[in-house]
Amino acid sequence: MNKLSRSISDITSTQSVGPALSAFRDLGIWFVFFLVIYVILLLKAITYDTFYNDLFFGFYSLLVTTYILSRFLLAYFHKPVVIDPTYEPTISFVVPAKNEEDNIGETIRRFAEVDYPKEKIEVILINDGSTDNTLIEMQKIADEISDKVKRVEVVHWEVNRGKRHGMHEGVIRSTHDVIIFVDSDSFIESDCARHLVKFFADPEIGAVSGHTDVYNRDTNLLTAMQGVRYYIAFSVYKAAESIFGSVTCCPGCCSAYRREYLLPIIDDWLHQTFLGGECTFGDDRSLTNFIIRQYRACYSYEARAHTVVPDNFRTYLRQQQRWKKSWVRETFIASMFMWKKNPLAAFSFYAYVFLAFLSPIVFFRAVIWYPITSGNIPVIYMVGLFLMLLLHGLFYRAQVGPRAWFLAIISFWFNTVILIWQLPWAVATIKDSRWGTR
Amino acid sequence: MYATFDYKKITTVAVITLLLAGSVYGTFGYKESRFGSVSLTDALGNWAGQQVLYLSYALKRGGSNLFASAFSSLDGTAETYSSRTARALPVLVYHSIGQEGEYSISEDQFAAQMEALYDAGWRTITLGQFEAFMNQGQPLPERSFLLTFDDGAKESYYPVDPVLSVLGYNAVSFILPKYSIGGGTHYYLSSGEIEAMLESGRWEIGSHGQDSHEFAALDETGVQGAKLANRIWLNEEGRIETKEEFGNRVRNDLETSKHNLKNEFNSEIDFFAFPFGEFGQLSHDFTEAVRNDIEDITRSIYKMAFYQTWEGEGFSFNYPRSDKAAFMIKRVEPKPSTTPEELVQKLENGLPKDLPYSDDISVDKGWFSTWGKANLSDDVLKMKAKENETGVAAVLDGSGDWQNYRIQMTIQSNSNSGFVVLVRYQDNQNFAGCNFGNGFIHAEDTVDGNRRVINGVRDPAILIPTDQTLTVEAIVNGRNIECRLLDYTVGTEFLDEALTDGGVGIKVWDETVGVADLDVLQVSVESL
Repeated sequence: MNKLSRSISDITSTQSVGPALSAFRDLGIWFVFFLVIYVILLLKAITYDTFYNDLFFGFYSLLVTTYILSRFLLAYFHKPVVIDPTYEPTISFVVPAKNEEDNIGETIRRFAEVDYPKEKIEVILINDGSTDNTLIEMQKIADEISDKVKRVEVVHWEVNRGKRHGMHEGVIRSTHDVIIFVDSDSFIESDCARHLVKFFADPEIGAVSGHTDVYNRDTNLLTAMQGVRYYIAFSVYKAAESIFGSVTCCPGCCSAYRREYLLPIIDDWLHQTFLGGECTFGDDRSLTNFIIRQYRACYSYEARAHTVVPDNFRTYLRQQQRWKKSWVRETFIASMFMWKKNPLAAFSFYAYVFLAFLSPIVFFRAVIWYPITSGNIPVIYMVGLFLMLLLHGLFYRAQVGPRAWFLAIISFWFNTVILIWQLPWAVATIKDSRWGTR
Repeated sequence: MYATFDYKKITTVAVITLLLAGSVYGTFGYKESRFGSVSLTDALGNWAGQQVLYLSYALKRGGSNLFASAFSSLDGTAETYSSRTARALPVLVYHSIGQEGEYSISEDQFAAQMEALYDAGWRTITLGQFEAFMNQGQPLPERSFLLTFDDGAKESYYPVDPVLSVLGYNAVSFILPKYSIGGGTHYYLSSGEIEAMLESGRWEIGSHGQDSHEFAALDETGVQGAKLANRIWLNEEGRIETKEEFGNRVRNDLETSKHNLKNEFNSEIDFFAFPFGEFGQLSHDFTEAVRNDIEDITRSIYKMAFYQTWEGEGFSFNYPRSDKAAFMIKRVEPKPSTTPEELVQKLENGLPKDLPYSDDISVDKGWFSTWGKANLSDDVLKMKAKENETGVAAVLDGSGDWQNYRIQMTIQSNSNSGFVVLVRYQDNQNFAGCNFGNGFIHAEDTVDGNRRVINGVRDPAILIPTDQTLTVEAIVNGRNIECRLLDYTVGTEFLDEALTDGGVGIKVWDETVGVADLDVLQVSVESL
């Protein structure tokens, strides 16, 4: 698998065992990983008899297994890009912020520690109508770092306009080649910039997603669960998309875009409407969509950042609901042009869409309909679901180290009941563009 | 493509893919050879369920063993068993253990029955030991028994083996090669499973017939009967098969099943269990002829043949006989309703009894009815004919090898019907007796079902009184028999030579149905 360098916090938290023992243990984890794949394949082989009884659901089951296992396989072939010392474009960090007095200071401070020539860095901070001390904090830290970068600009809006306007303002005000969006609650590592920028030596590249881990993953089971989800979403699913240069979302927490390619589309993006309403969230996915129409988007697993995630279920559900809505919208848009891409990329994309919309139906059939009509407990389905999640958890455990991954997987397994209904709910409420409690 | 397909990665993926594919393929191959044609899930379920049973029985038994051993040194009960040698042996037969049904006992009930037998000192033996005891006089400890299972169902192995394992028991499975050789079925064991059983050392196998574990039409009306135990109706030819055709079919079936099992499991197949326990005793037609044919043919192919005994058929144990080799072996079949205590009692009652023997009928020491139904209650063995029957007969289990003895019986007649004190009872076809009737006393014997009065007195003064208890006496010694009632004695020296030993019993009889009625109050037997 990927020789992913562990972030600093991971290394310090790993128990200090000898390298030989550690290698032995890692081997053991990989063994269990493949053991789980073996059991999944066995389950598939066992249930093969029932395939023809119900072609549609049999096909679903086969497709979902193929899809997930192929993600791991594709991610394994993800290409490491070497830093070219002769290619060093100028960069702008853009941070739109609203009511982030606690985190904004640390977010900005990290820009001063970036391993990049200081005369090539500019920082653009947008205070989007904060009602707390965000502006004061912003200005204070901006002063602190002003001699470590070429230029810091603080934009202050008295009235909140929205994140999309903030990002747009940053693009307009930027004078540099590559724009790196960083969320006001995300913290980048010092080599992050170089590992993002190196991709732009290829003129086909329009955007690059960094790798974002969960900063507060040890707070509770919910953040631990998100820790696993983030890690897998980036290092497996984005890495798999990256193979074809068709990463569908370069997220706002830490992604780089080429300014030259942004300028012609940035106004269309700002005023994007969907079903007659203005699009107020999913700005990152939407911007990526604009870019990959013509260019390519990749994922850099070495460009590390850490972001703060919701630590209570209510906020988490609202965030997920927003993401699901923007996913529905942008997937609809992307499906108009994805077929022109690499056939395997296109197949993966449409397969995923198909699976995502079908999974609530399959879940309903397996967990509610089938037990009621036949009186049997859906053991195979629940075990299959658990094994798939366990596979993700083991991958996380092997790559990241001993964390609360198993509990996170168990919790995710239970939460599936709730989370699986978000997609149909998002479709039903797609026109409601309020953010809800953030 | 932003991908690297270097040599190392491709090799790694190829190796892992091959390993995974090989493992999955290998798993199914292993399943097929070890568990047969059932689905992998079922194979795994059976296996895992059995592992759970091994563990839970071991824990449960281990716990109680510890408990028992802590106290056994105090009362010494653990040492009192098995110091004597066996004189006769019981054989148990089960079909499947699982869902309770006509031929099926629940797991818990079976385990409890076995545990109760074990705790009462009963130990299993092998087919070889059984045969050597019956026919070569090889000694075995008292309370030895043979445990058998018919049909070779999966349910006669998976829930059973953990019980055998924890008790140190072994058993015999009578297999149907037609279903079991190869992959087996959902119900029947597969070759792989039988091999695993044989390897465990806890199991032996025998034949249950090739193609005869089914019914066939016996006449033009389509009456059904067990295939091996009846001459069957040949529909195309519109007739019942001839004696010769029947013989050839039976011989072929027995030989084929023996041959197939021997080849498949590389093991001697010398023992046979009749499908449905039928060997012609229930046959539709030509009973005696069919029965003799079947027995002769089976004897020419197998060392021993097993059937199920039934109420009234004789002693529950198999007695070795010095004059002829034991071949037809009877088996006791515990029912789903048989409690562990009842089963232990049944076998304890069947144990050959010692002389002198005294019985005040306060507890049941094993009186079984060979005709009608004798009831043991209130310290009395009540022998009353049913409304539509003329008489009742009862025999004392465990008396089958008594030789020369005097029996005294205290009775109360309630109907002044005649009665017979049975002596040297071997089975329903072979016994001797003192026949006491109104006006006569006969010394009689019955050999192979042929009754003979050897000597007797006739006197109108001989009357069976109903107003007083009576003590009657019968003495057998060598070929002498003597019958005593009141002041009368009848004797003879010409008892049939075949009746060298046998047990005691009593029969009451009347010309009119529902009349015969007699109470047995006391029985004592002393050796001569």
